[in-house]
Amino acid sequence: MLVAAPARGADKRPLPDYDGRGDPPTTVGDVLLWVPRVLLAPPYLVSEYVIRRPLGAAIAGAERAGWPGALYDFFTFGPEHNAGFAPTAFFDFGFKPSVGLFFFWNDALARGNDMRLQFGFWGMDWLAASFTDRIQFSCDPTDVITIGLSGLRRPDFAYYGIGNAAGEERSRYGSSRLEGRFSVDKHWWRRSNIHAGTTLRQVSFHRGHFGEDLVLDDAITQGLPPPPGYTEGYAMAKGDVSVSLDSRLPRPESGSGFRLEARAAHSGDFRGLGSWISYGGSGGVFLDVNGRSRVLSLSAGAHFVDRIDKSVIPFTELAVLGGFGPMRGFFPGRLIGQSAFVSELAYKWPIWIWLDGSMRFELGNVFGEHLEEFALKNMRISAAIGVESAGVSDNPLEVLIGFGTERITDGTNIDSFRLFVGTHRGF
Amino acid sequence: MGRTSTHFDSSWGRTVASRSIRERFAKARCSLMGVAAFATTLGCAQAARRFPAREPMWKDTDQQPISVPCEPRPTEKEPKHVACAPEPYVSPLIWDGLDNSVFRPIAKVFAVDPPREARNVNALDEVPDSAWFNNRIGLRKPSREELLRGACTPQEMLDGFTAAAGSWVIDQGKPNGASPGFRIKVGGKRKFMLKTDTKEQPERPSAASAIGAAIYHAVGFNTSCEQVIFVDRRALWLQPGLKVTDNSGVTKPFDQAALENVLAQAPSRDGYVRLQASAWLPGYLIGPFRYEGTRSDDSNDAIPHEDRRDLRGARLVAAWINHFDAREQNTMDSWIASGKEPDSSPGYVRHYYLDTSDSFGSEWAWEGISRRLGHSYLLDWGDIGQDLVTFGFATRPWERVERTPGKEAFGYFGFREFDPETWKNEYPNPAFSRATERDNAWMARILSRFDRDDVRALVDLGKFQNAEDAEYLADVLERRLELILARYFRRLSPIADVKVTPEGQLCATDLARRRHVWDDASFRYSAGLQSGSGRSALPIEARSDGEICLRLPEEKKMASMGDSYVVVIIANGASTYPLRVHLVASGQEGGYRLVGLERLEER
Repeated sequence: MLVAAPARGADKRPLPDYDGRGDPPTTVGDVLLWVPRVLLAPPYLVSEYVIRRPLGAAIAGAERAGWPGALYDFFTFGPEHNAGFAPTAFFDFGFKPSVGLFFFWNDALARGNDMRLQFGFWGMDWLAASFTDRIQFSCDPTDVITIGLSGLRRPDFAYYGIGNAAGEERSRYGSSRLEGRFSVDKHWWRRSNIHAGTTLRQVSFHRGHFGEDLVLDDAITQGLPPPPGYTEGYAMAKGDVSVSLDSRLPRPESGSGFRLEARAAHSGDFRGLGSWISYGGSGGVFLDVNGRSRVLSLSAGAHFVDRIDKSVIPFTELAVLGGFGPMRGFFPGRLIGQSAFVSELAYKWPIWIWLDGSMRFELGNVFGEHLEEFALKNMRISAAIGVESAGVSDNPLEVLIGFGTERITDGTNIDSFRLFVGTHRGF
Repeated sequence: MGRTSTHFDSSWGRTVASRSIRERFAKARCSLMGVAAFATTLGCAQAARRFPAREPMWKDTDQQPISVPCEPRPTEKEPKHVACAPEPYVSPLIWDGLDNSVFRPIAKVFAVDPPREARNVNALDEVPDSAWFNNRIGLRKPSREELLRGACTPQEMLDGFTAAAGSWVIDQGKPNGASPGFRIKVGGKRKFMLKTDTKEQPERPSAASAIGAAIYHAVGFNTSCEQVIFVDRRALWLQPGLKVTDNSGVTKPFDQAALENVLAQAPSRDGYVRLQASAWLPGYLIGPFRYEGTRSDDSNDAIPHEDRRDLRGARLVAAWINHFDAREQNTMDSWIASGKEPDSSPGYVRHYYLDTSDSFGSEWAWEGISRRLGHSYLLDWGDIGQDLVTFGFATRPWERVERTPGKEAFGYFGFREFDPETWKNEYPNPAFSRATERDNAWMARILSRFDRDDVRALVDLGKFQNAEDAEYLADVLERRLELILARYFRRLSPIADVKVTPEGQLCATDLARRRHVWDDASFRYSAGLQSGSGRSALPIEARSDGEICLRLPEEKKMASMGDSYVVVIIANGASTYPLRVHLVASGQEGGYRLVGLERLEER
């Protein structure tokens, strides 16, 4: 037991018989208690003497030595501690994990100017870096101009093919991406927003690997048609706009309302692939069941990517489902097509101050041009349940378990399992 | 509201959950797991045991002077100083929260150590006076002056209105903590720490300190002397050259500018600054006490703290005033030396409660936390798990609490969502977690001694500028107390103050009826005598102010029949279980002698 001074061998005073009746007699219950005590003695000994007491001595000693203050000063900077860094980690089942560092600097050059710098790493072929400068241009903290630069190189991207019938055989490829972006976000009513931005992006592909999975380069050698844009890579510029009309109020107000969103973008490749437009929209209704953030929602959305003239749309710029977007029960990059449709029934509820539970049930898939082959039988099912941070925009914590299925016409068997835990999105 | 009523409609229109459901699951609450539940259930039902024919114990033996080996303990002023007192304990703040939130609960599950009855309970189901607790309002109604003075001696009462210019010497800045302040020395009196309130909740913290300390003291705990004072700035004189180290370890001068910065945050009234004054505790301070285990260098400290009734019962006091910050860092042990030197031996350790400034609705910077205070731990695995697996089906009390318009200074402090049974402090407290029904009932009996007028007078210690604030606080406290009494007088008998009169009557006070917890019609008294000869009914008379009396059979007759030990069982018709009064018939002029009281959960 933690005490201020080492035991001085002080014998305890004899306890008086407070009520004069001595110790209560041993009952059958007292004896029976020894059954679970004996059975649970091993975990008790471990939890108490291997974990709790040594850890307590170490942490208490560190506190007395002033380590928490020193650590706080180590991880944060400035007189108001508005800058600092923290370690991050992310695990996504079926992909390489990553660890990283997250740097923040709030009110960097002026009040309302926040900078973020993030690094991720898992071996020399897995490197990521991102710099973001957000400038708040009005009293509303969501009115921001964002300037960003990012780079990503990783070897474990997954490719399953293009189209709604893409099977579960996957191959791995590597990709290097360099991107710069500039955007303006203006909040205008409740959670409604207008966004406009421009992005410069350079992407190249290389031989990848992950475990025993097939390598895409080898699959191409064996006769698989290379995905569009894979062999040459691309360098593009993109301009995009989106408008959302969202009647929901921010927490702790009721989460009931509706959301409509429309977006469009024009992209062009500098190296001769051509240009294309992408556009889409979504709509949803939200019902806060009891006015206390238990929100049931029903939404649907579609996304289209159309080539202009005889352009080649790089496969990574097509409509993609899975990962951290719609159809989360599927691997990132699992579903690629020229158009996509997803409908979702979701429920979110609070479980702690900064944590929400979430459940999603989605029906959707990718399709050909303009929802070619769109039919209920060609839909897939995605379901996921998890826990996520509430009200945290930088590096939210998320734990998710989910699965995805074959198309309904193929039997709806589960062909995708998703598990991820982490504080950053793994780029 | 009858004895077996299952719903209780309060005057403010809230329905309390069915008592019968709680009674049905009462035994299951005795255990941690299925097998332990069954085992402990068997252990909960105790056979009646006799008390010896002796005076009940009213004074514990833990204030006997003990000696502690001397050791070098250098100070800034005396590098070669030697102390013969226990070494001060520095409480690890982070580990305490982490341990009690995560590691201790896990270890305790595997230990299979369900709560047992407290150790330091005398034959009358009360707690003897000790270095931890001294019976005050529970045994004897204090005068109004005693009640309001709390732990302050007359010499410690400060009067800032009449303080001469420069008479309060500031000799130290406040080194750490949430609220700014400084230490003063007042000629002829002890040292005091003066602190300001926060701008977000002016008056509440200082009022909570003064009122909370007075309540804890009246209940019986050792507390510091806390006062709300108003002082003219000219009475303060700042010693030159002072320095202070803040929470982040940075040392800065505590100069006139720093003093002005502190005073700027304090509310003022008619040119006088409002401050909270805490008197320095007597003795040699050796750090806080833990709510678990014992202090190994104190041979008087022989009962694990989590098994002390006084510490367990403190849970209800904390619940009453919403002192959610009831953790070890807000306690203090002081070595009371027999000699002149404060750190000399022999001496003994006295245990204090400190800092109730969080009471009556303190709020954190995050509203999500502020709402939960008193309803859920900061990290409450049980609540998180329940909300996760039930998909948030149930609306939680912290989601329903609201601030009272016009009374935002009291945050979410109210009564509508208050449940004394499920009240929780910031993170699990080892003693609070082991409080049994009897421990809580004991404290409820003590709290019932606070009449409404007492509560109103105590609230005036807060010196609120707005009389409506005082009225509001007194009303909330009264309503919360009513809820406490309604819950903890429902099961175990609230009959107390048992005595045998010279006329051979057994009289007592039904604290529930005295305090009007339920309508008078709810009380239907019955009494029976249990002896070697069998059982017989005894007529019982209900008198005013909660008093009940019954006539005992002639003790000579009982003694001659060999029934010198009898048990009188008294039921009040409103509480589930009766009181068992153990008496010995001496057969001589002395008559019956009260030797014990039992409040068992059996009829």
